[in-house]
Amino acid sequence: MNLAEENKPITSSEQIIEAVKRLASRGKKKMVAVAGASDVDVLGALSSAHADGILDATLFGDKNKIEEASREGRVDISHFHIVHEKDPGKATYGAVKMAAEGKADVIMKGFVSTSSLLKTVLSKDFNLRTRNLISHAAVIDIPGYHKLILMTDGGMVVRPDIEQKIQILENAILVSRALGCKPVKVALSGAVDKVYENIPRTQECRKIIDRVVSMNLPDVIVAGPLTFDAATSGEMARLKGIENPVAGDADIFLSNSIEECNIAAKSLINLADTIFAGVIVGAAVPVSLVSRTDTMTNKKASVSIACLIAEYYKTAAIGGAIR
Amino acid sequence: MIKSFDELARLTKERAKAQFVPNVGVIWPMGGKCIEAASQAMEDGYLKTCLIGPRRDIEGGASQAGYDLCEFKIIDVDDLKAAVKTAADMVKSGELHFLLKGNIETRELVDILLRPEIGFMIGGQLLSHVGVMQTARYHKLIFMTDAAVNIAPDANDKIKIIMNAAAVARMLGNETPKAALLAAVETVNPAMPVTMEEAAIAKMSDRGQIKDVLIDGPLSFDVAINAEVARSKGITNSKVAGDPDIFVCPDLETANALYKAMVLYVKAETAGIIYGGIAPVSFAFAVDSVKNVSNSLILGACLTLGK
Repeated sequence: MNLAEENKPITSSEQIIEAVKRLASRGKKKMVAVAGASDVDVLGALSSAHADGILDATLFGDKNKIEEASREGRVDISHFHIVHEKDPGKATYGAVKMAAEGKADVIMKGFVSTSSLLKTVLSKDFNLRTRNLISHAAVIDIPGYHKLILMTDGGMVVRPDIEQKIQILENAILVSRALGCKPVKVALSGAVDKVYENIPRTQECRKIIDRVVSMNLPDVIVAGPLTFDAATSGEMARLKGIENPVAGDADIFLSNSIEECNIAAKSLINLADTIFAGVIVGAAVPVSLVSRTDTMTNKKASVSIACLIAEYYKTAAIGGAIR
Repeated sequence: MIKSFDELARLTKERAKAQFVPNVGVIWPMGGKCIEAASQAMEDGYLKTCLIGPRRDIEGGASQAGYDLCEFKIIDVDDLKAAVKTAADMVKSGELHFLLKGNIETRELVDILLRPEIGFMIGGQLLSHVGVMQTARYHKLIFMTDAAVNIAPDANDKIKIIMNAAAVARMLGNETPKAALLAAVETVNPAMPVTMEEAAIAKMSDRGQIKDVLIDGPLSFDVAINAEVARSKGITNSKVAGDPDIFVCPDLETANALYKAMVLYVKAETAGIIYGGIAPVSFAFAVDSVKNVSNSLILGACLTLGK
């Protein structure tokens, strides 16, 4: 199986991990810089991913605490280089600097606060800022849906306006492209499948579609408003008489608020065995972020998709293109 | 407390036998799943059905789908607004006990129901949707709200939305239901207006300003449904986390996306009701199966018959 060479899109979470392994086997193994590595869950995910031959990691943080965490979680970290730094701010700075200098491909959040990590990523000291805002992309593998779907933004931007939605969308499109989607089919979320005068967010859809069309993005098809059922079920789209290439086949579901995206995705993750790979995009380097409650599979998926995105940024020189 | 749709059906049938057989008015019953569901309910003996809409289209649609309408009363009305008005008048005169949404767009029906000249609304009441769900992994029925009516409810609307859902839960034997105000996080954060509003409503509940329902929020979905996750995230003194009956979404888009995810991929069985008017309106989305429409009819009948 060699999906990348056949130009077939990656359609499942297993394939994400397979694709990163293939990269590694071709000498393109990714280096992950971990900010604040004294985190049992992060070390566990990295160690397991390393055992699979997916990645290498450099651990920034308090050496004693990192070793303590590895003992606590019974995690083998002997393959990883540790950069001892007691102060969390300096550990974060070190990890981001490594990525900015091109010596690491992915930044991973450990035992440091998300906001301070992202502030450092966006700091003028480094050249990692793009012209887009930072957003969260959740690539999820739902049993019953025939491919991966990227839901955004359930983690960063609280209530995006049109301009912010366009940027979130641009960030998401890059992730879908890294997954080999061609064309990338974008559904703009709605509570209904038509534009209504008294539902402001359905009106927004029209403006977003106009903007996206005027941007001339190659191989991007955008439609909306689409309800979640019309976006992800061909049967529902037919039943509702919706005829567009996105309905029933969406790669991206662009939500109206952090609540909408977060709550819908969590229902799938918690009640429908959906595998979830979360990553922060919009900087020149992807940031992998896992939480305590994520399963090992989800954690590995998160760091793996960050590696794929990093490779895509490099080969397509996209990190530069959107700056 | 009713914990499954089987139980709800059994109880409703018993009540219909002991009290009376409720009469449902189906608004615009052309095509769709409503005739099939209503036929089944009539066969089971807990429902009488009146079809309101253009007779020719109703009969044409039914014969195409192979249904015999001789057991149904048909009120021939050509115009949707007139059909809703007729239904509301029949509720007031006692001929109908509750309604069922037929093959019309939700927004159209809601807009008409809310017009004062229809006479469907009661002063001070708020119309809202309650989706009742039964899932394999959650230990009781979920009352999710509002996936159909209120687009961007403010705090006052939300309190009424909670009260409506609590009223429905109480009719199903749950005296003091617990309501989770869902958000993306469980921390109250001034940068996230939804969390501020939800925290304020929760505080009102703590102070006894909202009666007969326990409310907590903001709660993220995983914290709401899982007591263990709640503990691991430091939510240890909540009476709601891990055990809510009512799941309150911040807006229509959120509730709708959650509802659809629950039906399509969590494979939740559902019943829907639009509550707060002069009679309950049984309600199903296009995504709902015939079984779900049947459940909605049973729920409507149950709310009519009372405890």
